[in-house]
Amino acid sequence: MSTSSTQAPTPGQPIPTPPDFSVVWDDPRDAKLTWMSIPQFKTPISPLINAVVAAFMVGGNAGMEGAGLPFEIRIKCINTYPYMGMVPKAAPPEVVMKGMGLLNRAAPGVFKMMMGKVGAGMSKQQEAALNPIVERFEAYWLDELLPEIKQHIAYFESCDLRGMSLDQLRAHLAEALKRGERMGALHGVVMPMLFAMSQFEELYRELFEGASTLDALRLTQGFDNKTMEGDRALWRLSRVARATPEVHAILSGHAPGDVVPALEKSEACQPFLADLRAWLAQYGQRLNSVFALGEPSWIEDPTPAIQNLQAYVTLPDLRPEMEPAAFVAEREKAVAEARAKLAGYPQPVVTRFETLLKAAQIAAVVHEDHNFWIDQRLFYHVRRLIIEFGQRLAQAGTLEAVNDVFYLTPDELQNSRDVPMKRLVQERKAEMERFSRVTPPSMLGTAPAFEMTDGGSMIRAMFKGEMSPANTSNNEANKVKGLAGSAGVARGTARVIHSLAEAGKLQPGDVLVAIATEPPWTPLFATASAIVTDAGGVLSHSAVVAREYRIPAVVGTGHATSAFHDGQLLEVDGNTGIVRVVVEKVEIEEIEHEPALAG
Amino acid sequence: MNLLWLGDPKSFDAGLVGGKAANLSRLARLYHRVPDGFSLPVTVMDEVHPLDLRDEITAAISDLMACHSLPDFIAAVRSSAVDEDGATASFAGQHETYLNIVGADAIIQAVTRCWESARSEHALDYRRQQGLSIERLQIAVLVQQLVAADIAAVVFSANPVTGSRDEIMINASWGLGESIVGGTVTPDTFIVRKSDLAITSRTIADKQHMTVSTPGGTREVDVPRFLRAQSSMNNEQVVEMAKLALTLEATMEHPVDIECAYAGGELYLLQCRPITTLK
Repeated sequence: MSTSSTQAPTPGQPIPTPPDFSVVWDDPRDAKLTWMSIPQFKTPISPLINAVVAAFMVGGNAGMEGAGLPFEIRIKCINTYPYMGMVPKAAPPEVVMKGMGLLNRAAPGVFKMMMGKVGAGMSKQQEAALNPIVERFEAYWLDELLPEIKQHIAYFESCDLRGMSLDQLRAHLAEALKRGERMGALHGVVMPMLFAMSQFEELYRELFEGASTLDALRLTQGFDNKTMEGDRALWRLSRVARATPEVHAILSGHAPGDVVPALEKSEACQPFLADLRAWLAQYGQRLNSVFALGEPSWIEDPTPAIQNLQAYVTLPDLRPEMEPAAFVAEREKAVAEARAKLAGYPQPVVTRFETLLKAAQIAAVVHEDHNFWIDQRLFYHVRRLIIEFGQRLAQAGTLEAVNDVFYLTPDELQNSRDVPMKRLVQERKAEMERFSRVTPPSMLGTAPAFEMTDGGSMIRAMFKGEMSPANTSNNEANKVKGLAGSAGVARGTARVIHSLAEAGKLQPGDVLVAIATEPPWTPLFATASAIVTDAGGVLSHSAVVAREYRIPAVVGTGHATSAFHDGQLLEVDGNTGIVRVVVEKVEIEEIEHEPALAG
Repeated sequence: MNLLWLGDPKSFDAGLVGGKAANLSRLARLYHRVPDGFSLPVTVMDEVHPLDLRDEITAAISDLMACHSLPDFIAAVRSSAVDEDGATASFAGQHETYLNIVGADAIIQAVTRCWESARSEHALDYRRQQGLSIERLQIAVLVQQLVAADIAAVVFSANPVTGSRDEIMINASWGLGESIVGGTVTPDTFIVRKSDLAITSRTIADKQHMTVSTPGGTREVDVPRFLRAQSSMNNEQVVEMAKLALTLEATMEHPVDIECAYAGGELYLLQCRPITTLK
């Protein structure tokens, strides 16, 4: 592992690269821009996955075109790691960035004022573009976007991969990338959901003095969404397992990988197995992480689902998050209280409040559902296609192994006759292997000379989502400050989980510490007592789902995964955003016998 | 009959019901949308305890709700002391205002408080010092529907800045009128030419504060940012207000200063006085 310099780079100056990560810029102008590592990508990305991600991201920019954003997001694979750049739309971008940086240094006051004005102007532009969408958000999602998304999924489902010739597969790959780009665009045009939630949250706090962001978001919680629907269905499956002694015994006594074969052998377990397969058919079209195309889907390998069931069967029936009625009542009470307070307000205020409330409530559902339909299903199908390709090429002897297909580019796959595939695979494997031993620098190119957060109300919304900047404030020893993501205080043993493969170590009541939790992880929330993340804001996936589960969450800490380690007893305060170590190293038994910690 | 309805010619007598109620009664004859209500005249307040008027007040509130199809009756309850010459005196205990009072019981309570404060030692001392009669308590109470204004405005049927009698000047802002009258908000300003009702000038202010009704009263709050720089009124509303000012000026045969409000899309007339300070 390389030791990266702790010294912050000079604003506006080239960022020095560690010797094991020297960068050759294919376009020298890119060196003048800032490139940030993407927290979720801690290991090298293969050329094929990179191509899929890039197509999706290009589509995303097209989808965001109408939102009046001052910059677009560009993804660049540098030394096998994907980097994200926020590139100003004003041309030429590197000159704009430089000019703005110079102004910030020469006259920070003028720069701040100018950025304030730009931000206000941008807000106006973004609001003009997005308010009409917010006003009809439900129809926008249900009637305009979702039908097209489902059409693309139906296309993938209708393809008989096994029955295709290699040429047909090649054509299908091109079509899949095209549709992937379009799905990226649809993913982009869903993003006003963040705007709706953010605008509602801001208006609520303006109207009700002293109200917090979480107070505002309470009015948007408890609506059924695809994430909770799938998680509750898995939970109900665990109740069946508990009630069926044979199933219970197999789940309790076998390693996750041995559970399904054992179930298959038992006559008494057949109804449960059928239910499990039905669940997988509906909710198992997911990868372990959004772009983890190199890993099996849950249908291919149901281990993550089995692990969740194994944890669930140890838990008693009473799980409040699985019974949303009380939460719905709580939400409706908060809505009624807000309406009563606004009864004497001018009509335009009441109308705006009601419009944004409705939009934010639907957005909270779309926040999860778009993921189910776009992120999970699209990449599930793309992986199936890639694996089919790999199998054909491996069978024909063109490749050594099925998974070698990931080391080729789509172009190479389209023209596979003329390409020295095996050699390319070996070279790229070696390159990825080399870089897998390197810690990618968090920033490359030119150090930013100013903050980009004030680019208008949509930018604010995006920074409340997954783009939330890492908290860089000084942290005391044994204490980390992040954003209050979901209310409540809980204590539990820290489990730092970098990928779903490590999820098996999470025991009921543990605190799940992760870089960011992704949609496929959410069944773990029924097992965890609290969530702590490095990345993401109050509108990030981790925070949204933690609120639905009613467990405390502290998000966007910047470095919880490195500050904490397995086995520490943590206290997570989701109201203040503070996570602290209560006891450095504890055994579960000790906690139970320690009265001071019992509460 | 102890109560006098607004608009009843008997309530034109300021010496009986106070200046404000008398004025509103006359206005109610000129314009149909003056918030409705009734007065408890000085003669009644002098002789009867408000609690003895319970049935009569309750019945009146029911009538008002039925007449205006209101689900609740939300009232402003105001007392005013009245001199022999009918001018309103404003001093301790003689001039109470209770806003946003909902329902008959709460209204009776508010009237009772007006009655009691007029008889407080503090108020009586003040009257003695001023050489006013403490034998006859010259106090009247007005119970009037409180209009939940979306937009409040003050309209001058002459330009008070330039003195021009050819133009109408309108100051308007969000919420109840208190923030405009009290000067805590810079309102939007519209100038309308009388001859053709053309809007000749429009200045949209950054309206930072507004008064809203809260249970049992009113409160000044910040205007949410999205609304601050938005024009409080559209052209039709500006012209409708200007027309009202013209009508009232013609009737009173003098330039007037009016307070009015839009609530639920309807224009309500709240007050109208002659402009006495015109150049």
